Amino acid sequence: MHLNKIRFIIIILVFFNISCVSLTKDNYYLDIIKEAKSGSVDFAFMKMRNYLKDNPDSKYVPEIKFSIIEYYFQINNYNEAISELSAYLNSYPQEQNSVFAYALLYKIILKYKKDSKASPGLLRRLEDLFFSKPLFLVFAESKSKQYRSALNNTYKIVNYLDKIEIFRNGELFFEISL
Amino acid sequence: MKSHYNRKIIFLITFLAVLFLLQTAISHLINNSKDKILNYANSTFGYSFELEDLSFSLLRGLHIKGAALTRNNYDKKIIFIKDAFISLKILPLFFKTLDIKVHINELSLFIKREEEGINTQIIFSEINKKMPKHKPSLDISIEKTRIITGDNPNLSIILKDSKIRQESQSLKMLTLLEFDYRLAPDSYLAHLFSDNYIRQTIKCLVQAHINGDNLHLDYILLNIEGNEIIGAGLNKDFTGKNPYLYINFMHSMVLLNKLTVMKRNFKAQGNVYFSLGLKGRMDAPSINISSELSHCSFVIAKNRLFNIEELQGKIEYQNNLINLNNASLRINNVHLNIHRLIAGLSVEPELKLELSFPQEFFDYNSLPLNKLRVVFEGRLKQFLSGDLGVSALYIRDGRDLDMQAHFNGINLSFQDAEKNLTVGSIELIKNDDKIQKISLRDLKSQVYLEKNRIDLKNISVAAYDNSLSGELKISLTDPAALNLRLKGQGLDLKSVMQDTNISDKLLSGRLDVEIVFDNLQKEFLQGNCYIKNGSMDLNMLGSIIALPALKNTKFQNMHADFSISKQLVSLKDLEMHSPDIMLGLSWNTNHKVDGELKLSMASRLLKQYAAFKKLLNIAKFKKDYVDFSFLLAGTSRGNTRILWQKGEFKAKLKENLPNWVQKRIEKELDKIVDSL
Repeated sequence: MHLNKIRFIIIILVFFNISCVSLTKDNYYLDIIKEAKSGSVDFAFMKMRNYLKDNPDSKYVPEIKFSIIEYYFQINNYNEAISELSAYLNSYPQEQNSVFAYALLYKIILKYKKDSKASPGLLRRLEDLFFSKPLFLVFAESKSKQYRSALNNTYKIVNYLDKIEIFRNGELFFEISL
Repeated sequence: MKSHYNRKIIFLITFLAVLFLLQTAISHLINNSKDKILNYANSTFGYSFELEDLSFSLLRGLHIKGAALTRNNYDKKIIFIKDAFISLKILPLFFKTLDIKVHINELSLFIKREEEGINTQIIFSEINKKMPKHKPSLDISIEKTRIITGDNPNLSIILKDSKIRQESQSLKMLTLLEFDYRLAPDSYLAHLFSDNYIRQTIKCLVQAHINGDNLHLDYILLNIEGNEIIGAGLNKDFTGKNPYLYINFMHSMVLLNKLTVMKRNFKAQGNVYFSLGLKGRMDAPSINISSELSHCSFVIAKNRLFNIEELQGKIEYQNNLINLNNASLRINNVHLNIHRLIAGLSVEPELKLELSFPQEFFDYNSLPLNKLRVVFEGRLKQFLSGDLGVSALYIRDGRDLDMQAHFNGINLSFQDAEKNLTVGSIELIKNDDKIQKISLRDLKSQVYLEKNRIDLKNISVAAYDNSLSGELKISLTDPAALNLRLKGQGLDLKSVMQDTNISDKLLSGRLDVEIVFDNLQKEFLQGNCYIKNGSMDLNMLGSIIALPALKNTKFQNMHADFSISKQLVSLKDLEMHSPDIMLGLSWNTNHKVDGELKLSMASRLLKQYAAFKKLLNIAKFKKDYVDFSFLLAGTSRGNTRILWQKGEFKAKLKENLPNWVQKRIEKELDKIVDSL
C-alpha cells in the first residue's frame, strides 16, 4: 500500500513536471487557445501573428498557420485566405489537417462559384483530391477523422464508399459525392 | 471612141502577157538557181537547207514550198515550212528602206533540248551571227505554227494567226496559242482530270524592243478566255545560244469558270488571284506561280468522286511541285483544313499532305474529339505508297487524351477498280498517364472507293502471334460514319497486355476478341473477349484483403464484354473460373468508377494461411467455398474505394468477433491501405 502511494506520487510528479515544461515552453500558444475559446478571435489572431514571428521553428507553426486561414475565412477575407492556403498547402501537403485546409479552399471556391467566378474544373480537381485516397470498409459503413483547431473549431471528415461529408463545429460544412 | 477602147484592151493584154512572161522568166531563173541558193545557204550558215520548190509570183512574191532545215549531222528536220511567200513592200523602197513581208501557211518547229540549249535557239543564234548587222523591217504572218517537243511527245503547242512585226529595234507579236497536253493514262493526274487532255487557248500580245544583246519585253498581255494577265520581262542575250529569261506577270484575277481546262475537267468555279514568274536559262527556266484561291469549287476525278467546295488558301508552284498552304475547304461536304499539301508533277511524284478537321466537324457529327490531324508522306508510283500518321485529342472525363495511329509502308493500287491495300506496320497509341498501344503488321485489304464512301473489305492483319480479320466502312454523308468490325482468335494474351497496358495481372493465355466500332452508336466501341487456359496474378487482392498470395492463378476460361461510350468505359460480366477461385466483375468508369467484384474462394485454399484459418475458425465457417462481395467506387484517377458487402462469412465474423477486434482489423487494414 505504501509502495503504491510512492508510485502514485512519482507518477503525479513526473506528469506535473512534464506539464510545467510544456506550459512554460508554449505558454503563449495556450494563451492563443484560451483567447479563441473565450471568443476573442481577433486577439487570438494577433497573438498568432506574433507567435509565428517569434517562433518560426515551433512545431505548432502548421496549426497556427491553419488557424490564420480559418480567421480570414471567418471574416470573409477570401483573398487573404486563398493566399495563405496556397502557401500552407505548398509547405505542408502531408499535414494531418491538410484535408481540412482543402475543405476550406473548396468552400471558398463554392462561394465564388455562386458569383460565377470560379471554374468548375477547379472544383472537380479538388473533389478528385478528396477521393484520391484509397478506402477499405470492412465492418463499418464509413470511416471518420476529427480535428480541433487553435481557433477552437472542430472539423470532421466522414468517408463513405461513394461520398464524403465534412462537418465544421458539428454542422455539415459540405458534402461531395462521386 | 471604139479604137481608143480597143487600144486599152490591147495594152492591157500586152501588159499582162509581159507580166506573165516576166513572172515565168523570174520563176524559171529562180528555180534554176535553187541549187545555187541552197548551196550558198548551206555553206554560209553551216546547216542543211532543203527546198522542194521555188517560184515567183508577181502578186505575192517569192513562193517557197517545202523548205526544211536540218543539222548537218542529223536527218531529222528541225524547221519545216510547208508554204511561204516572201515579198518586198514597194512604198518603203522609195524611202530607201527594205521592208520584207513574209507569209507562212504552216511552220513546224521540232524543239529539242540539247547540251548548249534549245536547238531552234541555237540555230537562230548561229544564223544571226552570219547575217548582216543591219536588218530589214520584217512583217511576218504565220497561219499556223506547230511546236513539237522531242522531250515530251505528249505536249503539243500550236500558234495560230501569228503576226510579227519587226521594225528597226522594236518588235511586236500577236498570236493565239493553243496548248494541248495529253496525260499519260497511267499517270495519277489522268485519274484526277475528267478528260485525258489539258487544253487551253491563250491570246498573246508581246511588245518588245532590242537594246544591244537584250530583248526587253515591255508589255506582255495574255488573254485567257477573257481573263487578262499583264506582264513584262527581259530576254537577256537574246541572240545567244541559251538566253536568260526574266518575266513577271502582275498579280491578276482569273475566273476559273472562264478557263476551258478548268471548266471541262473540274467544273471549276471561283476566283484565283495569281502572279506568275519565269526565270532562268531558256532551256530550263524555273516557273513560279503564287496564287490565292477564293471560294473555289472543283469536281475531281473521272467518276466525279470528290466534290471540293469553298476552297480558300494559298497555292504555289515551284520546281515542279505544287504547294498548297493553310487552306480550308469542304470535300464532299466534310470541312477540312489543309495545312500543307505538296504534290509533284513528275512521273513518280512525291506527295506530302497534312490536314486536320475543324471543330465544327466534331460538333456537327457529335464526335468527342478536340483534334484530328492526318499526315501523309509518300510517293505516287504505280501505287500510292508512303506513311500515314493520324493524331487525335479524344475528350474523356473532361480532359484530352492523346491518340495516335501510325501506318507505315502503305501501298495502295489506286488505278485498279479493285484497289489493293497493304500496310507494313500499324501502331495505335493512346498516351495518357500510361502509354497504351496496339501493334499490327502486314495488313491486306481491298479498298472500294465511291462518292462519300470508303470501304475496306477483307481486312486481314497479323497481330500478337496470330491474326485479325474484319472490315471498315467510312461514310462521309451527314453525319460522318465510321464502322469497324474486327475479329481475332488465339492472340497471345501476354503480349496483348504488355502493349495495351490494361493490366499486368493477366499473365498468359490465348485471347479471342471481337470489336465493333461505330461512331454513331451511343456505345461507340463494343466488344467481347474470351481467354482460354490463362493465368492471372491475384496477389493484388492479397495486399488489400489479406487473401493468400495467388501470384499465378491458373484458370480455364475468362470472359468479358466491354463497351465505351462518350460517358462510360464499361466492363460487363467479367467471369473467371478456376478450380479454387471464381471471380465475377463489373466495372464502369467515366469520371467516377463503380463496380462490383464477386469472389468465391475455396476454404481449403484460404486455410493454408494462418490468419484466414483463424478467422474461419472464429466465424465457425464450414462451407467448402467462401463468398466475398465487394462494392467498388472511386474516381478514374484516384484510388479505389472498397466496401465489403454483407454476406454469410462477414455476418458470422461480426457475430463472433468482439468490437475491439473488428476495430483493430479496420485499423490494420487502414495502415495497409495508407501504405499503398
